[in-house]
Amino acid sequence: MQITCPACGNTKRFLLPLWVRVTFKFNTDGSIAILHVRQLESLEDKLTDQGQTSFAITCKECGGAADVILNEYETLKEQQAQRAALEEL
Amino acid sequence: MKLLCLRCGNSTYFETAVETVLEVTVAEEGFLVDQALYADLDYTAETLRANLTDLLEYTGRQAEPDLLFDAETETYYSRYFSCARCGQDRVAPPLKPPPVEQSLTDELNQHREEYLRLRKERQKYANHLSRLWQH
Repeated sequence: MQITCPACGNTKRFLLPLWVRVTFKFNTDGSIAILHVRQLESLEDKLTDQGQTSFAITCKECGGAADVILNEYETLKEQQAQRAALEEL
Repeated sequence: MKLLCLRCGNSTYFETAVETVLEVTVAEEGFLVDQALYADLDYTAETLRANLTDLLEYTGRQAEPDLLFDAETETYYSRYFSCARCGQDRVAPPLKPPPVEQSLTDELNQHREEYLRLRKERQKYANHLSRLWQH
C-alpha cells in the first residue's frame, strides 16, 4: 500500500479526517475542558475506503488530495507481463 | 449554562461527536497514526476544540424549528449532544426569554436622538480634521 501526493510528490506525511466522540465539561468560568476522546471510525477502514467515500486523505505539506494505491505491485506485474510478451514476439 | 439534560438536570458534563484530523506517517514498519503537529501548532487538538466550540455556538443559535421535540416532557432538544452523566440524549440549550418584538419604525424613533447626536459629532470632527499635507 502506498500513499502519494500527486501535486508535490510527498510520500511521507498525510492528514486523515476522523470522527471522534468527545466527553467534555463546562468549567465555572464558561470555558470547556475535554475529558475523554474516543474514535468512532476504524483507521484501517478509512485508509482502505479511500476513493469509495467522500472523505479525503490530504497531503500535510501542500494540502492537496493524496492518492492511495492499495496494491502497488499490480501495475508492476502488468508491466512485467507486457515485457515478457514483447520478448516473446 | 449552555446545555441542560432534561432527565437528570446535569449542566456540566456532556458528550458529542466531532471531526478531527490525525497524521498518517509512512514509515518502514508501516503506517503510524498520531496527532498532527506543526512547528507551533497541534492541529489535531486545535481542530477538535474549534469544531466543538462551533457546534456549541451553532446549538446555542438554533431556534425551535431546528431542534427535535420530546413529546414526553414537551420540550425541544438538540440532536448533537447527550448527557455524560445519565446517558440521556435529551439535552437542550436552556430556555431563553423571547426577543422583544419591536417594529423598525419604533426602533428608529427610539434611537433618533442618539443618531442626531452622532451626526452632529461627525460634522464637528469633519471640520477639524488635521491637514496632514501642511506638515
